[in-house]
Amino acid sequence: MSCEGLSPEAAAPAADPAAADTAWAFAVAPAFGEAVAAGYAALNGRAGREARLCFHRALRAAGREGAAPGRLIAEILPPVLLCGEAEVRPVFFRVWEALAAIGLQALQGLLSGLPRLLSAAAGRPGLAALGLEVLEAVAASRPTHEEIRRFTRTLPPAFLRIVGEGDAAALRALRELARLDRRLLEPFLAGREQGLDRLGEAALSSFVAEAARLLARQGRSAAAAFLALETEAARRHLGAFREGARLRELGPRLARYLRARLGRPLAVRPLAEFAAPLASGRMVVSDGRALYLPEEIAREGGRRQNEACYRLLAGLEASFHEFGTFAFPALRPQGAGIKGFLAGFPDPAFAGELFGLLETVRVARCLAQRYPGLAARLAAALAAEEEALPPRAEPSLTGLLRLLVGAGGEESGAAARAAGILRPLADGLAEDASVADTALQVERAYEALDRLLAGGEEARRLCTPFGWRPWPHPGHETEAGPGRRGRRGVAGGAPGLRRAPTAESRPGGAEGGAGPPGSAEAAARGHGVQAGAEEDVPALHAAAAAAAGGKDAFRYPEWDEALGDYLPDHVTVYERPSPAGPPGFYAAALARRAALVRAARRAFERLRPEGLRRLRGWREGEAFDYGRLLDYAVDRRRGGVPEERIFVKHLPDRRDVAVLLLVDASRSTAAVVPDAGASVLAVEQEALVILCEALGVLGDAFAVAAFSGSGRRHVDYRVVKGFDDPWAGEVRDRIGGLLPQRNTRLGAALRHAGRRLGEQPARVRLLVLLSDGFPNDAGYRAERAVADTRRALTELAFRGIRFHAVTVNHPAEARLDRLYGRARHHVISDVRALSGRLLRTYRGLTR
Amino acid sequence: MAFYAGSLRMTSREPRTDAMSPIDAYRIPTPPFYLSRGSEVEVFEAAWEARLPVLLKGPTGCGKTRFVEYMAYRLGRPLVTVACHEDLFASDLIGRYLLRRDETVWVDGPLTLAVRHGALCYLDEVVEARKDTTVVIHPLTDNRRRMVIDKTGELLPAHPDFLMVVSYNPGYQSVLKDLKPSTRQRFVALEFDYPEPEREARIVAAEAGIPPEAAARLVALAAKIRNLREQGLAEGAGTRLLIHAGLLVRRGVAMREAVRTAVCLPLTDDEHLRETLEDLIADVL
Ligand SMILES: Nc1ncnc2c1ncn2[C@@H]1O[C@H](COP(=O)(O)OP(=O)(O)OP(=O)(O)O)[C@@H](O)[C@H]1O
Ligand SMILES: [Mg+2]
Repeated sequence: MSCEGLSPEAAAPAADPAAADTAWAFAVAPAFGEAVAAGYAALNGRAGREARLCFHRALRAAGREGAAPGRLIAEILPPVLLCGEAEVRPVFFRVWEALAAIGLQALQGLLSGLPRLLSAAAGRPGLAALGLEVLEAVAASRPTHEEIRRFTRTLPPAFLRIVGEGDAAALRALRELARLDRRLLEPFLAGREQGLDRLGEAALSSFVAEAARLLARQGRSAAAAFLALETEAARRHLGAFREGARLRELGPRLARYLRARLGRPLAVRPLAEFAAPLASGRMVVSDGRALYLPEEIAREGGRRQNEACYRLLAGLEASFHEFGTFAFPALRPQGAGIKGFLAGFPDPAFAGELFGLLETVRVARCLAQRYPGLAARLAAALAAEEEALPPRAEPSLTGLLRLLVGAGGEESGAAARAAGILRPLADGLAEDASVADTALQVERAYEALDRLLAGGEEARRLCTPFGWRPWPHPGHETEAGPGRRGRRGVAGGAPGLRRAPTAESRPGGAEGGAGPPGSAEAAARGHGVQAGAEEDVPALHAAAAAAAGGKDAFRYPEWDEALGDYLPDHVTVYERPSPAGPPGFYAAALARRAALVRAARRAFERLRPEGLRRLRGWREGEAFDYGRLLDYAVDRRRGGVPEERIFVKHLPDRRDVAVLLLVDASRSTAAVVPDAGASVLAVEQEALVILCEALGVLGDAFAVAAFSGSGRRHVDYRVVKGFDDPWAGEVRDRIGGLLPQRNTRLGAALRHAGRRLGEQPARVRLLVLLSDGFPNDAGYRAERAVADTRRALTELAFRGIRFHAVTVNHPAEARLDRLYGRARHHVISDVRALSGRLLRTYRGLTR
Repeated sequence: MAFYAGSLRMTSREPRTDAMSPIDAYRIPTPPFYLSRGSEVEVFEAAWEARLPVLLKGPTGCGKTRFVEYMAYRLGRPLVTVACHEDLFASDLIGRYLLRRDETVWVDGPLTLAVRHGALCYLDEVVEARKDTTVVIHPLTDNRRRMVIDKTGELLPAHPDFLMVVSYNPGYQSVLKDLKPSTRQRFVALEFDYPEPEREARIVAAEAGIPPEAAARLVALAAKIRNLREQGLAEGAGTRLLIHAGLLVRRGVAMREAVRTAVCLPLTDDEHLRETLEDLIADVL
């Protein structure tokens, strides 16, 4: 059926058919009559003659089949005719025809909800037609009556929800599935409840494609289970797609990237920490010290796409810094930065939007020049937004941006005129233009565009992807102002736009002016405040400082992964001799482990240098081996083949090794190792005894120290044996005196141990760490502690110090590999293996 | 175009016995391509005139070796290069006895050769050498200008044209391997850094034989990578790496791939840093 479904009496009547149709319908059935009257009433004044005619013909055709179908069409056709989308009508009639062929039950069941669906789809072009196409495909596949009964229950509410969510992708997926096999619809809807709804367009269509492959290969039930997310494969597939990216995980990478882009640190922080309120939809903003991004991005596609989105945002925002947007000069007398400049215009807000547009264009051109890859991604983002926006004929700032950045856009009429004005100005913002040039072009363009865009508020507002824009800057209201820009001495006249809580608002922070270039110092202050609240035990620090007399205090930097920079002098390490323990400890341990000690000694004896000063028998070398030279000469005289290995070489005759054993003595080492029946520390102590005995045999220079600490102001470094201490008497007793206490700030301990080892003039310098897990201290946890430790290890490597860690009483896991590097640590589960492992490691590393 | 000194040095391994003097193998026949970046050429010439030994400081692959080759050519002197390493003894510099027929013959080491014949002697990465080498270096670099060959008992005054040049990369030296002040203070020092972008692009284009735009891209990327020095990168990307990437590009390797193989992988094994390098590549290329 369609409007043209012509029956003789349906030929266009001269008069309006409403009255006649109503009367006829009443005659067939009162309910039908009422529906027809209501239908015509709905159309009245809102539908043209052609639509009314269409209604008339459809009524007559359906009414001839019976009152019920007549009434149904009278109820559902008017919204179809009024929905304003041309393509809905033909689909509707195709669906009607197909369902009618199945029966009245199908028509009523699946179509009576149509008006609600259409009203939900209002303003969302394409959705209604898509929904109908799903039904068309269902109907075309000749469902059984039983199926129709089920679909009646399930499909209309699901459609209503999907349309309400504006999820065209889901409807397309449904259409695709209905064409493959109608029995896949319900599994899909079930899967949607389980999380399929969070997939983006591309991800969903790839998911459906996978289901189609399964259908072809393994049949319907496999495909259905996949769609309903009942299979492991489906969940994996979904997981790969859906995962959003988190700032927590990506932050350090972005900070490193920013460091590379800008040559100075710019921290990465969550958007929520930005002091000023942000326009909705704005996903990125920055000030002089940090770039702010959402805590999580879970947009289109999977994790990779979302990570890419983070990188795009950071890359774009960094461009404002790199290309000097915030280094706005004082152009006018009132001159305080951009705001002062804009205040000179009749409509400062519009001038600001215009500035935003032209500056974005300038930056985009710089990007095209120097970062073509990034520029291409920006163009793609603009194009994607363009698709989402309804096409508009009138000129608008938003449309102009797309035109000028080369991401398409229509040009005609007034829009063309606006583009004509702006394009030459934009072209003036070539490669070496600065933000001052942008300001100049704003002055040139202002009047003409003000006139051209006088029309609508909408047209005068710039709309950019992710809300990325140079202006208006939300931090501006609270900003310190460009007069103070130089205070932190950020190189390149960088942003004056920064967050409100500045140095002077904090006690003790007023020294800002003296800060060195780069914001490490400022950041260090920021951290001091944050960490201080959490960790301070002032009395303890004071006592420690007094005890140490200050002269054994060492300051070390610490790596702040979030900031991507070192915090200078952040940690204080106090070095003190370790107190001696009960006198009998060492001897007792020695006696207890006599067998192990003997084995260790034997193993190490084999490491002892041969005492050979000269290596003989080389084909070349520094001197002759005269005995062999004689043989050689004799052989030659006799006409034989002389042995040519007649040189000696000098090689160092002693082991040139210094080793420092660093022992974790934090509170956690009090934990009992299950199968040893002793604490971690006790195990470490025994291993120390054995190893020290063996080292004594070797004659290598060695030192032993333990560390623990509480907070960054107090890391305890207790010397058990210094390199110069003899291995005897009281020094030995110190091993027994170690006590588990406080926390592990590993980076600082490693740095201090590195300093001590660095003073040793040995060719091979080795640091061995005995620990029971991950570093952990106040303000020093998780990723940050790991990153700082890794950093400290890199520093050691740069200084030529070898490192090996042995972890006790901790399950082996990949995170330990990340912490130490795969080849540089061992996990010992059985403590009896500890000494053996240490010996082997030692041999390998110092050979 | 690109003059490769390595091949020359290789042919000179075997000391020559014919009429040619062994030092002739160390002469530089064709002008090396060198783009000067400031006054280093003039300063070096002045130092040469005053016979002041020269210390070149700077990161790896920034043109120190090329500079010395260029200066040797300019001054018309042979160039003897020694790459120092931790097993390099003084005797390796001075020379040794070899057997020839039935006699033992003394063969000059590279340094002795240079001292005898008035060549420039370039000790690359001099801190890597063993400590006993200072015994030889010191008397040659102060106004004694002579060397003692202990094995033959010869006291060899330096040829009037002899000059010692050493290089030294402060970036990744350990404290212990620092030069002793008594050594450092014998030299005048020239500081080398990566050339500025425009100049570096010209070098890369010329050396690798790629178009200027491609070279400029590589240089732009390197500038960003160099910002990561002290972020866990021991050294930034030297000009040499860029030339390597360029040489791959010229042979048809795609730009990204070339950069990955010639720049990123040689620079670091750290996966985090590699990610960041990838991010930069995605932006710049
Ligand atoms: N100023 C320059 N003019 C011409 N070529 C240069 C210049 N600077 C660098 N190069 C190129 O860079 C390459 C590497 O430079 P070179 O070998 O001189 O580095 P280097 O400083 O000696 O490094 P290393 O410390 O690792 O020995 C050279 O082969 C040359 O092609
Ligand atoms: Mg070199």
